[in-house]
Amino acid sequence: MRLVGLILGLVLVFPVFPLGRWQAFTLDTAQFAFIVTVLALSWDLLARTGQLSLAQGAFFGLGAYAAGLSAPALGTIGGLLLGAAVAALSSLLLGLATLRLQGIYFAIATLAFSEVMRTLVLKAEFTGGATGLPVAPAFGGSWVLGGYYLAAAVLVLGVLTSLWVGRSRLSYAQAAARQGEAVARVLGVAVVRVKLLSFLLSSALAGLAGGVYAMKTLFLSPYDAFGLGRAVEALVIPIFGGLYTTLGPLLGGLLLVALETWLRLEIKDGYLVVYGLILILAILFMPKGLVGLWRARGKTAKEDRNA
Amino acid sequence: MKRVLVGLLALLGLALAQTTLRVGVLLPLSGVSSVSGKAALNGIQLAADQVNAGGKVKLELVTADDGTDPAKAVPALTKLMTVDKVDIVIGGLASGVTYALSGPIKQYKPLFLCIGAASSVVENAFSGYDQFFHYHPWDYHNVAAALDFFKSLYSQGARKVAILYEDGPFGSAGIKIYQEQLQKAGYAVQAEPFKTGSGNFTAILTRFKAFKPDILYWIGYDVDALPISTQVRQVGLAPKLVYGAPPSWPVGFDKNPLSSDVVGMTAWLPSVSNTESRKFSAAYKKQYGEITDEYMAPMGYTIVLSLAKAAEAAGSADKDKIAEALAKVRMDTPFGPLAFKPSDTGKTQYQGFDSSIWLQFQYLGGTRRPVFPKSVAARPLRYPGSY
Repeated sequence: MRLVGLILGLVLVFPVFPLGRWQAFTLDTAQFAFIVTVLALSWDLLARTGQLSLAQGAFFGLGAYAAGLSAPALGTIGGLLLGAAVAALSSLLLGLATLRLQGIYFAIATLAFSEVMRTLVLKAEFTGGATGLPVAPAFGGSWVLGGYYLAAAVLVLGVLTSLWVGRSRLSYAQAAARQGEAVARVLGVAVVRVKLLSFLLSSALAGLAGGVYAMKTLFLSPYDAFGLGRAVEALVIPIFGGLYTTLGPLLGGLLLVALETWLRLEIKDGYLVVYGLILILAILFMPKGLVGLWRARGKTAKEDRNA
Repeated sequence: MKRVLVGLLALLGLALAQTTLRVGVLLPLSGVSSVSGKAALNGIQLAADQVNAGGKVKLELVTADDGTDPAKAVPALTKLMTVDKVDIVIGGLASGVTYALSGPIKQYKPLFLCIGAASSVVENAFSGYDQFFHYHPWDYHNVAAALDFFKSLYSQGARKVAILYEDGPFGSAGIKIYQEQLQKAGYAVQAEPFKTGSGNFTAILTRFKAFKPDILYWIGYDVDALPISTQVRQVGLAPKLVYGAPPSWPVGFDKNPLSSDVVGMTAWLPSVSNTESRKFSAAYKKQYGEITDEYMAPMGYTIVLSLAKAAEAAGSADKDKIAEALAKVRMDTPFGPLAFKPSDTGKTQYQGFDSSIWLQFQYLGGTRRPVFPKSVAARPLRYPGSY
C-alpha cells in the first residue's frame, strides 16, 4: 500500500523532475504508460473472478470512439465519461449473455465480441469507417500538461478502484468465484452478479483509458483502437506484475513500458525479440509476478529475523 | 611548412563551407508497414552517404522506429525534437500514424518531409502548416491513375469489374470512390469484402462467376496474392485481366508461373528507363548487393537528395531558409521530374509528385514490365491475359 502511494505521488510530481532535454519525451512516454497500466488494472479486476477476458481491447476502442465523437459537444471530461458509460453498457449486455460461460469458452466469446465491435466500427459511416476518426486534443490543447494530468488522473482512479475492490467484501466473493464456482454458490455468493459487477467496473475503466488514448493520439482507426494486441497487453502486464493485486498491474505496466522504450532506444532493430525473451523468462521464473517475488523476499527476511 | 599551412587553411575553408544538417528519420521499422519502412531507410541512407561523400553538405541521420503505432510514434518524435534536437524530420509513412504526429509536429515546428501518408485525412491535418513537404501522391492521385488505366481497358472492350477488397483500412478506405468512378466510366461493378490472410476465396470467386467479370480487381496484402491467383484458376473464373493492388508483392512472386499476366500499379520499377532511375538502381545494388522493387527506397533517396540540394542552395543549416530553397527545387528523380506546387485541393502548399508517377505493370516472363501509360510501357499489355 505504501509503495502504491509512493508511485502515485511520484506520478503527480513527475513533471517537475529536472529531466532536462529528456523531459518532453519521458512525459509523452509516461502518458502512454499510464493508459496501458489502467487497461491492465481493468483486466485484473475481472480476472479476480476467474474470468479471462479478451474484450478489453473492444471496451478500450468503444471508449475511445465514444469519447472522440462526443468530446466536441460534451467537452473533454464529458466525452471521457460518456466513453466509460458506453463501454460499461456494452459489457453489461455482453456479460448478461456470456458470464455464465467459464474459462476458454468465455475467452472465445469475448474475442468474438471484439471482432464484431471492430467490424461494426469499420463499416459504420459516423465513425469514419476505415478512413479513421480525427479527435480533438484534451482541453482543446490549451493546457500543455493537460494530457499528462488527465492520464495521471485516470491512473489514480484506476488504482483507487482496484484498491477499493481489493478491500471490499466483493473481493471475497471474487476469490470464492475464482477458486470454485459451485462451492461459492453453496456458500451463498451470487456468482453471476459478482462477475457482472466486476465486468462493469473493468470495462468502464478500459473505456476511460481508451478515451484518454484518443485525445492523446488525436486519431483513431478501428484496427488500432480495437486491436487484439491491446487485449493481450492488458493481460500480460498483470501476469508480469502479479495477478489479483493493485501493485502488480501498476508496477508491471510502468516497468514494462519503460523496459520496452529503453530497449527500442538501445537495440532498435530486433528489440522485440529481447523484450519477448525477457517476458518469457519472467513468466517462467516469476510465476507470481513481481509482487510474488517481493512477498517471497519479505517472508524470507521475516523468517531470518525470527530465527 | 607553407604548403602544410595552405593545405590546413583549405581544409578549414572546406569545413566552414560545408553545411551540416542533423536530420531525424522516423519510419516504421517494426509493425505492419516495416517492409516499406526498411526499404525507405535503405534509400535514405544510400542518398545520405552519397551527399556526405560529395562534401558540400554533411547529413547526420538520427533514426527512430515509429512501430506503425501512434503510441510509439508520438514519443519517438518528441525525443527527436527535444533530446536529439533535430530541426528536420523525414517520416510519415503510414497515414494513421502521420495523422497522430500532426499535433506534435505543429507544436515543435520542424521542417517535415513526408514520405508516404496518402490519405486525404492527413492533407486536412497539415493544412496551413507551412513546413510540410509531401512527396508521395495523395489518394485521389492514386484513384485517378488507376482510373486512367481502366478507361483504356474500357476502350478495349472491358465492361464488367469484380472488386475483391480486404475489409481493413487499406482495402476499404477508397472502395466507394473506386466503385462510383468505375460506374461513371461505364463499368458494371460488383464488390465483395474479404479478410486478408484468410487464404480462402473460392466462395466469393464462385459468386463472381455468375457476374462474368472482364476484370478481377483485388485490393489486399501480399499474403493474398498467391491464394487469389490459384483459386481464380481453380473455380474457372476466367477473367480477361487480374489486377492486384497490394502495398507490396510477395517475395519471389515474379518467379511463380501463377503470376503470369497479373497486372498491378507501382510508382517505380528498376526497369524504369530514366537516367536517375538507372543511377539509383546501380548505386543501390552496389551498396546493398541486391535490387529492390520497393518504391519507398527511391522515394527516401529522392527526399534526401532534394534536401541536400536545398541546403546547398540555402547555404545554411537554418530550416526556414532550407524550406524556402526546397520550395524552389527542380530536379530529376527516379520517378521523373520533381517540383513542389500546392496540392490539388489547395490545402497544403508543397506537393511533390502527383498521379503521373504511377505506372501499371504486368508480370511477363517472370519479370514486372511497365505496360501503361504508353510513355513508360516497355511491352504492350497482354489483354486478354491467360489465367
